[in-house]
Formats: sequence, C-alpha cells, structure tokens
Amino acid sequence: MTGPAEGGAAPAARRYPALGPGVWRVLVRNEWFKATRRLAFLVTLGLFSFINLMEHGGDLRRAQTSDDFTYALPDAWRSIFGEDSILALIFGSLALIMLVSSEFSWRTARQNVIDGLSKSQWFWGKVILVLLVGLTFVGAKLVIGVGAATLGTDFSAAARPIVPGSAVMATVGLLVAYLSAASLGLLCAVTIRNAGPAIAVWFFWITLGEQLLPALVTRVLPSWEPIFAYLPFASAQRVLPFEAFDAATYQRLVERAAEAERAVPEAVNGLLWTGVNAAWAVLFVAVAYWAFRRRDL
Amino acid sequence: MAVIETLKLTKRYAGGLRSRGTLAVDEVSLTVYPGQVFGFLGPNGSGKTTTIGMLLGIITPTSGTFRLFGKSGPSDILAARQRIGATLEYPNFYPYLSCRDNLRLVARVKGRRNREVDEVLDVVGLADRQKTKFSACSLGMKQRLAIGATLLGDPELIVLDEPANGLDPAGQREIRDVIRGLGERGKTIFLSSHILHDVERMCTHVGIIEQGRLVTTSAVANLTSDEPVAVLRAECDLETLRAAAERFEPVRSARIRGTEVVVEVDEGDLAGLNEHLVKQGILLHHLAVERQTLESVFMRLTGAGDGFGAVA
Repeated sequence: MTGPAEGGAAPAARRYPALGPGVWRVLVRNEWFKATRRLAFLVTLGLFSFINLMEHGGDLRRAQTSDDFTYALPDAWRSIFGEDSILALIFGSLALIMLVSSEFSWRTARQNVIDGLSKSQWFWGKVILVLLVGLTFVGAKLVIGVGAATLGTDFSAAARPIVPGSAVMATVGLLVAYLSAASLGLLCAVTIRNAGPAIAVWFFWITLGEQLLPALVTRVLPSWEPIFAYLPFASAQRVLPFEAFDAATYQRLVERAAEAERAVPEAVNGLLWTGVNAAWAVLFVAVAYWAFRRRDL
Repeated sequence: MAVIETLKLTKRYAGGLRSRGTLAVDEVSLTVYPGQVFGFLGPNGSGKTTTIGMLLGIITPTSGTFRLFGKSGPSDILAARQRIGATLEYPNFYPYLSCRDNLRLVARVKGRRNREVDEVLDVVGLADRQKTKFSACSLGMKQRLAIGATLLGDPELIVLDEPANGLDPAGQREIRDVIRGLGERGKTIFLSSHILHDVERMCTHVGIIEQGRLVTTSAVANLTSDEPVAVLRAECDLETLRAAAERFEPVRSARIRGTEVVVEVDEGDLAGLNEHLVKQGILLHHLAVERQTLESVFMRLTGAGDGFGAVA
C-alpha cells in the first residue's frame, strides 16, 4: 500500500477520484456493478423482458401464420411503441426504487459518504442510476421488439427507411417519459428511505392519485380540468404511442377512424409533451436533491 | 498540526412542536494529534457516534466547528476526508455482494487498484473467504471486512466506532491486535469502544463523554496508575478508621470513599497496617488491594460507579 500524495489540487484529484472529474466514471461503474448483481433488479428486468418477448414474439408468430397481419419494419414501430410501453416506466421505476431505498436500510448510503464521496456525489450517482436503469429497460424493449420484427422483415423489399427519424424521436420520448416516472420514484426513495412504503406511495400516485386529485379539485374548480392533463403520469402516457412522433402513422389512424365512423384520435405533439416530461423529471430530481441534502444520513 | 480539532461542536436533534429536541452533543472541544491512538469513551447514548458522524460528514452540526488535518470548509473537508478510513457503528456493506466485491466498490471510490484489495484481504485475514457474500459472513468477519475497508488507501487517520461490538473474546483479541498493529505503524486512530480494558491497553489518549458533554480528555498514563491502594472496611465509624489508619507511619494518605476507607500504602506494609489497627481496637472485615484503572476512572467520571472499581 502506498502512502498519501501531497502537493496541490491536481495530484490530489488524480489520487482521490472524489476530488476530480474521475468521480463520474467511478459513479457509473459502481452503480452499474451494484445494479447488475442485485437479484431484485435482474428479476424485474427478466420479467419485463419476458412480457416483451411474449408480446413481440406473439406478433411475429401471428404474422407468420396469418395473411392479414404483418409484423415487419418499419410498420412494426407502431407495435413496438404502443401504449403498453408503459410497462417500461413501471418496471424500471420499481427496480430503481428498490435499488435506491435499500441504500438507506442497509446504511450503505452513509458508508459511501464515509468512504469518501460527498453527499452530492452520492446523490448524482443515483441520478446516473436512474439513467442507467432507463437505458437498460428501454434498450431491452427495443432489442426484443426490433429483434422480433427483424425476423419478419424483408430488407430487400423495404421502400421506406427501416429506422425512420420518428422512431428515434419515439425512443427519446419513451426514455424521457421513463425519466419523469423514475424521478418521482427517486424522490419517493430518498425521502421515505424504505422500499415497501416508497413503492406504495409511488404506485398510489400513478394509479389513484392522478385520478383522485383532478376529480376532487374539479368539483370545486371545474375550469382547472385542462391543467390536470399535465400531471406527471398523464403527460408520460401521451408520448408513448408512436403516432405522437410519426405524422404518417397518425394520418393512417385518422383515415381508419373516418372509415369506421369512429371519433378521430387527438393529435399529440410529441416534442411538446416530451418537454413537459423532461420538466417533471428536472423538478422531481431538484426536489429529491433538496430533501436529501437537508437530512442526515 | 492537529489531525482532528473540534470547537464547541454541538448537535441538537429536532423534537416535536413543544419539544426543544434532544441535545446529543453539547459543545465538545477536543484535539487529536498525529500518532495518537485516541479512545473516545462514553456510555450508550452519550453522543460518541453523533460526534464521529459529524466529523465524517453524515450528520450536520447544529453549531460549532471542526477541522480535519487543519482544514475546514466544505471542499477542504471533502479533501481531508479522503485521508480518513472509517467505519461507523455496525459494518455497512451490500449484503448480496461478496467481501471482495464490497471492497472493490470502496477501492474505486478511494482510487485504489484491485491489487490493494487483495493486500487488505490478507491483512484482515479474509483472503480465504473473499468470495463469501456479506450476508453470509459471521459478525467477526463483518467487523474484519469493515476494518479492511478503512485500511484501503492507506489512510492517515483511522476512525473506528465500536470495532469489537458483539465479538467473542477471540474476535475481540483479533481486532485488538489489528488496531495495535496500526498504532505501531504510526497511524492516528480515533476509536470509540465500550471495552475499557482494551482501550486502556491500546490507546495513548482518551476522551470521556457523558450526556453529550466532554468530561475529560487526557493521556491514558495520566488517568491511570499502577500504584496500588488498600481498601478497608470495619465495624467502627469511617472517620475513626481513617484517622487510625493515617496514624500508621508508612501510610501516605487515607480518605473516606462511600462505605470504606482508601489508603495509599505499599503492599509490603499491609500486614503492619492490619496489626496497627488491631492494636487500636479496630477489627477489619475487609482488606483489599486495588489499582486505578481506566474502567474505574470512567465509572467515577460518568457516574456509572463509585471510584475505584477493578480489583488488581
């Protein structure tokens, strides 16, 4: 074991990651290391992947056995980015809450700070974890969905781009919607500091809270109803369908609705709602940071 | 330059609406110099862990200041903390990770290589059990792992909070040997413990805290004494016994302590003292030799006992 280095900030920063930019690399490596060895994370990811495998595998199977159904790129993007993408938000957020809140029950959060991280660095490590979990779950969904669709795609016959720009935007939209939901999960985890109650509060909000609050408030203030469309989970759901980012898909839906004499689906500005979700994510992270900083570990 | 220096460090935990809260640490001022093995003693709930928590940055002081390696201020303190290896209360690690993986996480934070993890596993005797999950470790292994984590990065100051807590005598001896070895290597050690005879053997200096207030801080040698005293009890009143004992020429002093008389006299003169008292018509029913230990000082200062407690 070598002795301590002296002589200014630069050598100190080289020796001690917490004193320099090297801390970000350490945080990414440690958060990923801890997450990928945690059974709760692996089970959640496994279950999510299994559901996606069943769904998209089922689409592929149906396309292979039925003449009036196709599952091939680029049309399959609408199936990949459907309303059931909400599962990525739910499973990802649940995994995140379990990973973060256990740091308090095991008191490893305080030990990480004792070991040399500042409280802020520890918190930003968890924000990195939010992103890592999101990339993992969204990535798993894309790999399975696109993988299955690829098996049914005749690439030589494709007239349109296999990966249109709208698919990239929809991916960003899904990731930002996840960030909004998961940041709320981060807020619950760092303030409640116990996995069970934190999950319960988060789940209560997304299932009942966002229904109850508008119902109660609009009884007194009916004019406020449009505002509630901007609540976190409501706005997250708006960016999940592919047609929020793909004008051609939306146009087809409008035509089909007209043919079937159904109500025309509401046009959604994907970019605008992605911005709303990003704003929620920033707000939740800021409040979580404030709440975390003012309490002892 | 002091390694640790606190000035009127205070922590009050918030209470309810009608309560002023709990004063856990009350204006503690102490100084630890390089090379000292400093024992921080106090009964349960006296404020030891809270004081250490403030130094380590996990508890925010209500008032007062502290310096680490002469540094204060958030960024300087963060830099100073890189030179500290510490464990607080129970060993805190990820239960689903192995001993080695837990140390790898710590090593990355401290900017150390995996090679150093192997060295530390050797030092604390966990090389053979490095793949054991933390949740499957015995308490002794967990404590040793905690000490191993503090050693990573070769820190200048090692802070250990109750390192032998819950260990059997053999485990306590192992931990004691490791700490003693660190002290011999010139490390500054700040140690809180309930095991007073261990502290007496390991520490060069002690601070005693009681109900959040620092009662005393001193070199261990100044608090304890190898000079024995005789403790006398008899049926007569205590002042008569004290006066009679004091008349015996070899006795240097005699004083009343509770229900007995404490006499400073050489052990070789005890038989003569007894004979002298018999001649004075005083029959002793208790005559014992005691030495002033850290435990007896601790008991006296914290009110947990009355004066000299341990029989040599």
